[in-house]
Amino acid sequence: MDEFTWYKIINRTEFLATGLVSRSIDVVLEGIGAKTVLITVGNYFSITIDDVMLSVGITDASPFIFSGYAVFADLNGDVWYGVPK
Amino acid sequence: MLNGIDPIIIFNFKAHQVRLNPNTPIPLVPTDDVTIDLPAVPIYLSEALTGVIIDSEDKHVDIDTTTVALVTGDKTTYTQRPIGSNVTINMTASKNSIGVTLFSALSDLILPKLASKEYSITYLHGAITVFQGLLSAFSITQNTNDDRYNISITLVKPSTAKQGAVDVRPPGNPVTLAG
Repeated sequence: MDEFTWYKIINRTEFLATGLVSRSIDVVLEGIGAKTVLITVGNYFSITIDDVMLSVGITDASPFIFSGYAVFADLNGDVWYGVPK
Repeated sequence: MLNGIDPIIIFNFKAHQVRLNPNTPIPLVPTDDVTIDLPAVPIYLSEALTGVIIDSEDKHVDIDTTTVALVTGDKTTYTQRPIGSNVTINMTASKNSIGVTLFSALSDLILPKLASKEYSITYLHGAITVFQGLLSAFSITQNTNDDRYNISITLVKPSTAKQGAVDVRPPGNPVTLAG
């Protein structure tokens, strides 16, 4: 967990309550810049940033790391995006 | 005239000056944007002066509203952001009027400057004003039954004000089992 800088993207519980299967949001990650995040709900809850799709719980590993980036859903249901330090 | 009797539309042009960093002999990308203002072209929308009269003016503000309704029945949330504020001017002119010639020439002159934004258009007519607007649409239509031209110009008023809070996410700490 320490090798990443974590940014909170969205709360999974609240997003699932909307009933939406996808949504695109624009956020500014402090120290990085503006990013467009595509949130998708299918078999897994996923976020796609810069063409990298990160799915929560798709493997047993937590956080899920792919292409150097990570995703993690914490105890409060918040989905975090990890950027390598 | 500028005292408000006749409407006026002013085409402003400028040229970007590419300037290398003077502090080093290494040719670096310029960090400051220097523009040179070129002479403006005013067109009085007066039947006597330019042969152009205004038929109608239209101003509308477009807003993008995203609605999220929760299946749980909780309060619906709305997210709004501005798309633009447009002014459309519909004019009539006779075929031989200087105004038609000017509008037609200037609209062609603007086309290569769209990407670099080396132009702006100011329109003043009473309560309808657009300062340093951008051209959104332009058309000239000739009627078959007479020698009149219908001219339509749509100007976009770019917003320079801050558009509400920006969604900035600072780095944080996820809540893990270890706390």
